[in-house]
Amino acid sequence: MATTTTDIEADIHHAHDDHDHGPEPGLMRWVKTTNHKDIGYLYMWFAFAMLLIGGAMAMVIRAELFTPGLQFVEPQFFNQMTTMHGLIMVFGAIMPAFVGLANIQIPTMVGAPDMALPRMNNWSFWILPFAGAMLLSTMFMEGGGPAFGWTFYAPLSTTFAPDSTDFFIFAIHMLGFSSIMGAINIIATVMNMRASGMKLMDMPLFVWTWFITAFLLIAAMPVLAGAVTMMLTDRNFGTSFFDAAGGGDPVMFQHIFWFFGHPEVYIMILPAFGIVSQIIPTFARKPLFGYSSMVYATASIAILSFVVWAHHMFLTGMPVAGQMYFMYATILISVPTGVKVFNWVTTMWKGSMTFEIPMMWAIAFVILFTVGGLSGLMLGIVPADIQYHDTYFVVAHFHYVLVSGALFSIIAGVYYWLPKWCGRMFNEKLAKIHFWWAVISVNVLFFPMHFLGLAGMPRRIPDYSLQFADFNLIASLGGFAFGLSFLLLAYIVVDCIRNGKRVEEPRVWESAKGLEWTLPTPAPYHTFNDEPSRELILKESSHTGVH
Amino acid sequence: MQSNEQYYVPSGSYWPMVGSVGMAALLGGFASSLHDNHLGTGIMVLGLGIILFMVFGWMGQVVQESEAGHYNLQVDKSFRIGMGWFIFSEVMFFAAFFGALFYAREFSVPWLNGEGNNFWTGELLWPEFKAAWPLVEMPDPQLYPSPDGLIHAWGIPAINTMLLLASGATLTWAHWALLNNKRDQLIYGMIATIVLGVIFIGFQVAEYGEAYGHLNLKMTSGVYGSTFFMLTGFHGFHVVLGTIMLVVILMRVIRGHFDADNHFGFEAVAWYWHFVDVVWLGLFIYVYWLV
Amino acid sequence: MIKIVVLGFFLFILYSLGSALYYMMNDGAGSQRMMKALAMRIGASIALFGFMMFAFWMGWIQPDGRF
Repeated sequence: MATTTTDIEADIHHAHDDHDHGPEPGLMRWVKTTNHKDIGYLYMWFAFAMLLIGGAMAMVIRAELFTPGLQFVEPQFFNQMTTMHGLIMVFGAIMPAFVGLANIQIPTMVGAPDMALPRMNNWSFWILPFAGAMLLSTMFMEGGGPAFGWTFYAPLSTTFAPDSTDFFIFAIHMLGFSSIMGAINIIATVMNMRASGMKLMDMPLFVWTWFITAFLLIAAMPVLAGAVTMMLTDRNFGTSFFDAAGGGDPVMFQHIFWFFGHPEVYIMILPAFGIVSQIIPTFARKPLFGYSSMVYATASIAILSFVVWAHHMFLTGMPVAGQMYFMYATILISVPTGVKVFNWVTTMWKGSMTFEIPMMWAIAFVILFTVGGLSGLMLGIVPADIQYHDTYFVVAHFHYVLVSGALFSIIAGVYYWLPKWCGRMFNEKLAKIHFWWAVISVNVLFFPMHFLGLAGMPRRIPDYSLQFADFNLIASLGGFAFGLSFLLLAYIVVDCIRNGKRVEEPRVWESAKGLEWTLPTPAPYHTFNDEPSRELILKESSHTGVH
Repeated sequence: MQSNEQYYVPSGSYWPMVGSVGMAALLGGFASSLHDNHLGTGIMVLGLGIILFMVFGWMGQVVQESEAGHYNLQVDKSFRIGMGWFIFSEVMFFAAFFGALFYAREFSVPWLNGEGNNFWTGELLWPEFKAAWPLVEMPDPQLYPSPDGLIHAWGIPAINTMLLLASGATLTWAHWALLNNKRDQLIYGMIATIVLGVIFIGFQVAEYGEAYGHLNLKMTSGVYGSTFFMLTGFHGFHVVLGTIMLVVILMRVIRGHFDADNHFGFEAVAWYWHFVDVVWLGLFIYVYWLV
Repeated sequence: MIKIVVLGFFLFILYSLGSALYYMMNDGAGSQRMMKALAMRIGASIALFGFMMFAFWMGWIQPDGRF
């Protein structure tokens, strides 16, 4: 009996354990993979493809708004474009890109062999293409795709929505399922796969911010699933959650949606904080200023994000006491966020700074995210929000934090870690052109929107009155330029992977700190087969170590 | 310095891809069937089949690896963390529906009657409407007809509460038995839990029959019916899943799987059951008793 | 008053379930702390149910009360 068990054991061990060999050849490598880097790369390419699709929709929007009057598309199609643009960018581009970076980087940063639950990791990714396809397929259905804005408020999304909305609902279910599994995996990896010499307060900030983001995801995504489920039954099975005629309330939808939605916006910015907190110490050649305050600030932002949701709904007629509470709670968030911005600035203060490409993006992030944060403060004030609500000021605000915030940090992270991933350096001259091109055009694109909003131009409308013409023209020109910059980014990345100059040294950026830089370049297929020692971890710490 | 070679990183697997195809077929088919596309129903059933195939195949592989002793304590802990946070996500899923229940009861229904700063809402929308909970007379009775009666807490729901609480107790009894290596007690405890679960499901079906057949209490009976069926429906669905998983675990126990130190599968399912049990208690208090 | 007692019971049940979940994740297989917390949550649930029955019998609470 005992011998048989051992035989089976040995047999299965050889059949299944995957420490010894490299990747499987061919396409099946990507379908079956349980390797955290493979899955991370898949996430990144998926996110980039969705970014281009969502970006193309933004081009349609800007083309339509180039001049007053209806130019190219029907208003209904315009609404589909704004809706799908938002949904694809949020759920298809930004979130998967961050999960991809987490997958590639977190095991290498905590000294782990892989993610904690590798097969589930594969499933989290492979749900996405199906969900994305289902979401995009709604555009080709009878009655068109969802056209009610990415926030899909009832009753626009229940009583007055096209049939395709049910496909949209299930796409959201699948995306949520994938996000929850991804988040569980990250929590299990950080809690259980961390090298035993690494205490929680030794973790790099990117790991910390993602760890906290994962809790936000687990708490917020199921609420979104609940909201779309109620939408589904309201649409098809005669329930009246969001119908006042049956005792429900359309505003209840907004409450449930934003209970998810506000944590969601921090889900899209906390990992960005983490990336920037990795890059700035590297090129300022100083340990990160105020590491523990960064960790606590991230945690406070996360907790506060669950108690401020109704600041998106100041105009729904809530009681004054409610408005006051949500206003003060919202403004409170600026304290931990301010702590972060000051910490980045103080990290650079008196540092021996050099301006490599990732650092330029990180600095652009700090400045432009602050612009977006300040307009967020303006929006958080009730009497002011009554003016700004649903205008282009809101559009300017969230594009500053999501594009020049979240997206810039992703680009910064890609430039920072790409040489590590593929063992080749990108073309720095082109990358510099790309940076200035993007950073100028993004401001030409979004800054005039502040003025448009203050002057009263409403969002999600394909036409506008004549006094808005000049600023819209400028914004559209900036938009086209910014859109083109992503083709350059695609070229730079592909060129780097195929013909980039080889990089041999493990520490690609000579002043970079962190366990990932102790691995050979390009990073081997299997990360850390032997656990890194406590001495190494302390030596490589970006916040205590000597630079 | 311990070697990470100890951690079991599985080789590539087709199961996630099978699961994704199944999920897309199930949900896509369901969505099409909602719009009178008869092909949709077929695709949905096919998708369900694929998902069942995936679950049994994938879990079968995991069981095999577990029994072959590949999973050390660290892998066990990863599974525990995964299960723990999965249950938390389920709690948040139910929280959305409980939130809807409280919102309707405390805010939207009184507001429709003109409470607070909603005087004109009450005057202009449906002046005849009187707020009450449970909501029996809807603001627009044409659209949402009234039920003839409600499910009384002091009836099937109370019996069901006792059944589920008892099943939690028998499951814990079985759990103690597993830890103390009393295999017979373990099996009896599991069987008792499953039987109680099945009786619960039976009563729940009877209650739905009563509600739809005699009381005219339906999903369409305004926001009370909506929250009632949404909460009890999703709970019932979880009980069904939990019972199926308990049966699988019972069969593994009979085959001699699990011992005092290595029984994650048992614990995961037991945990699921405890979670479902507490959700029911919340339902009993806040849906049936309306405290 | 009854509402507060019931809510208190329910919160205690959630707390014991939550702490059991914590022990499940941290202590590994066969955690005694977890088993105690689970037993506590079942005990509290049964006590709460008993209390509600008692309150109903005493006429302190009315279920839906309209039909």
